[in-house]
Amino acid sequence: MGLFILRRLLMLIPTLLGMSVLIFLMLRLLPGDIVDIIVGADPQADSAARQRLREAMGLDDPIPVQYVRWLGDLLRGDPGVSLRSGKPVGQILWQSLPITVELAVLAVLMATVVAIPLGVISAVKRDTGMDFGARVAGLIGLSLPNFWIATLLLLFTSTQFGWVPKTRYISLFDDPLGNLKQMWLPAAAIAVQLMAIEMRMTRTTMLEVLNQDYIRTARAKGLRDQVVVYRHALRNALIPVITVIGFQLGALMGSSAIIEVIFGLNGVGYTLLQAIFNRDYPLVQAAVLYLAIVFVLINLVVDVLYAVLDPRIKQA
Amino acid sequence: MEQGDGLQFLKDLARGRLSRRELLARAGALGVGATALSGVVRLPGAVLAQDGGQAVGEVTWALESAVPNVIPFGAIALAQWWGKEFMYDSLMEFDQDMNIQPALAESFETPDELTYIFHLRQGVKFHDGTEMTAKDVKYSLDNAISPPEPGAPVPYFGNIASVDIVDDYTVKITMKTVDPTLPGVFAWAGYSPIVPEGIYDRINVLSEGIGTGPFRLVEYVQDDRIVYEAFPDYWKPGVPCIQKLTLKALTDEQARVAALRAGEIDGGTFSADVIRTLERDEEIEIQRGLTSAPRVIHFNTVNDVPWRDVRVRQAINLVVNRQEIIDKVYGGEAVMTGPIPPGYGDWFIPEEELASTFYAQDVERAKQLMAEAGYADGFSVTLQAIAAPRDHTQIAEIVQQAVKQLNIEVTVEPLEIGTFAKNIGEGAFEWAATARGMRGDPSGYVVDFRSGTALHQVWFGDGWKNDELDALYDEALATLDVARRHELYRRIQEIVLTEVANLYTVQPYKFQAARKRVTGWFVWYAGTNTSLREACVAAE
Repeated sequence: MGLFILRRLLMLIPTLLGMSVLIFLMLRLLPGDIVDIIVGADPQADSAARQRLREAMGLDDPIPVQYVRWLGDLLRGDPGVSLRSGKPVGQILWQSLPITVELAVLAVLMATVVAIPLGVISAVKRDTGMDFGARVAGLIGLSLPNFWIATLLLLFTSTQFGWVPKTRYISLFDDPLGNLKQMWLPAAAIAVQLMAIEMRMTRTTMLEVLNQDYIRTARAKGLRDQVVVYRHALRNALIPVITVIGFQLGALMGSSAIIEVIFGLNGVGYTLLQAIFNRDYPLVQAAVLYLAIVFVLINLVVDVLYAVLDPRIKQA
Repeated sequence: MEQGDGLQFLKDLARGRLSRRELLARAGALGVGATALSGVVRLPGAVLAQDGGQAVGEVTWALESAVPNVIPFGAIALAQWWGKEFMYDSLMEFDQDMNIQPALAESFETPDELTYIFHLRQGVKFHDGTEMTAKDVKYSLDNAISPPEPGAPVPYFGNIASVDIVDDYTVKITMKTVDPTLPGVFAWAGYSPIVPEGIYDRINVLSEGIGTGPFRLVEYVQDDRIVYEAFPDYWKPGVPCIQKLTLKALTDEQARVAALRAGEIDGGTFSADVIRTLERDEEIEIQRGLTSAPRVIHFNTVNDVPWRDVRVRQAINLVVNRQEIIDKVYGGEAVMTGPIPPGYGDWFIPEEELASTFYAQDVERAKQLMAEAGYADGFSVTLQAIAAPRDHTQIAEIVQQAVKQLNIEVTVEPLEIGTFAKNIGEGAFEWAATARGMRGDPSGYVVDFRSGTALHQVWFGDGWKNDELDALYDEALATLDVARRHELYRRIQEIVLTEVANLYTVQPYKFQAARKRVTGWFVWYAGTNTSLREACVAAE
């Protein structure tokens, strides 16, 4: 197991290198750079002035030169400073990181707690009113975009209760209650869709498993229904569900950006978005690398979890 | 008015307060300080800070986009001004009615046409406790003239030959040519904040700052918020009145609405459509005002394109209905604009005249012009537009529909701002829908029509130039004669409108709303939230 994890961690290195080249090139394929942004759509500076600025920021060097310089700095532990604020990008990401992680974890948690039991019940009580109800709810949840839900929730709480979550992030460690009060609404907005996906996934795999021979065997030897469902079926049915959850967690690191924008939380996704709009290269590069690392690590955890759920995988 | 009158005016200014009416009549004509002349549409009801009162209460004001940084010098983006305007003062300032008032300079004199002598206010403290003196002013102005990176060069100080220290409280500015715009540009403040000498070596000026302003910066969180605290040693008595001022970036408009209703923010900017949803809320006060942001469609004539022919451009102008833009895009909350936007002193061409003369529609005549130009069958063209905010694209779509009558097939291409900015800066477009910003002098609104200037080359090339306009423009920059300057800018605008060098459309109103506990704020013509410097808030 240790070797397995180590091997996976070593694979991070080529992955990140590839990512870094890709993001470096793609960013520079985007038309316009920070100088264009600074000067804006209502230009008052001529091209010579722009050129001087570019030189001062080191943006006029050939891309390979810029890349090697950046990589060298990175390996020495310096991912650079934001072109806009001059702040170290590490510090900026460190500030936004807890917000995004918490949002993602909370949303996934909320979704899972509801979705898995619902999916199981739906599968076990297949084609009953209960199942239909859950499936319709799932379809609805699936078709509502989370930004729409978020806006609606905000307008609802503000008009009905004169309340919206605080826009200034309260750390979980400083004030757990205040933090939860602030985060539950954005997390719920994200959770709806995740819930629908997880519920449908659980139901499908559960149905599949319930039709397996070994389940029939288990029933035949007279085990109680509950034991069959929870000990034998659920455990096997969960493997694809966990894959989905892991994927969701990773994806949420970047894709919760729109929710962060709506709730005014400066998480990683929002920071990345602003950095891209402003062509803040060092910040984008660092943020994307960080997202890649998180993604790989989450996948690693998922793989380890597989092994726990299904010992055959460990031996293979 | 003779040149002597111009100087007399500057002296009056230097001595103290001119009445608004006087300023409009005299300075307006002179071109001193663009906004000084503005007929700003503004509702009354301001409550000034109580004298000697302690600053109290907290205000959170929402910004519709994040503040890239708070560099003192060479900040061009409006959002940069939003971020920094509370911690800096300049030598002059605008008051509530956009009159130029003394600020860090108590007065100035002009012993001759090429010399300004500023007498500094004594005992003014920077936020770090040191006193502001002439060496700080020299350092600041030198940096304003050529901003260190990442500041962008700004075109307003080109006529300054040198800044010299006379004594601790006196600074002499020597000009290369006559330039009456200097006090106005100083009062506009964003390009010429006064900072302590050597500030660039002491702090990260991108996210920190030391000024003499009513608030000192205590926290800058990138893309999120900027927190200010009242500076108790501010030189103006009774100011600031608010103890803590937080600027919070909330880019989603519905989120701003919800946050304002819930009291999570105290105020912000809203679009005309959305402001209606706030009208019935008794806790909320709404204000409307003009700002300088005329919407315009650029025609690029560098290449050999059909719209090099003036008849084609005139035909387009004849079919575009500005009133339709006002009604459909802005829900009636906009006015027509020429090159110089409405509200900009008395330099602009009034809406009634624009509507009846320059923007009158005539489809038949337009078709005839197209036929004469040999384009009866029309042509295809791409119209780039800023994608967000949406109004630029919406205007583009109305133009697209209108010119269909002339068989012109327009493809509207909404572009993200970075791409758009690059294209417009390099002239990489056929047509482009954008807006101009605030300018320090009327010349700033028409400079790009002067052949040979940097942007004229990439926008018009040899496809469009006008010798008469060139001559008028040069004369307007070289004279202090007020009446003459008015005539010149008037004629320049007529040429631009008649030749349809660009297609000017409308100037939308800006709407802001705040919870009623905040008093003394209003919509500021220059597009910033400057009134908050002296606003008050009821304690909770």
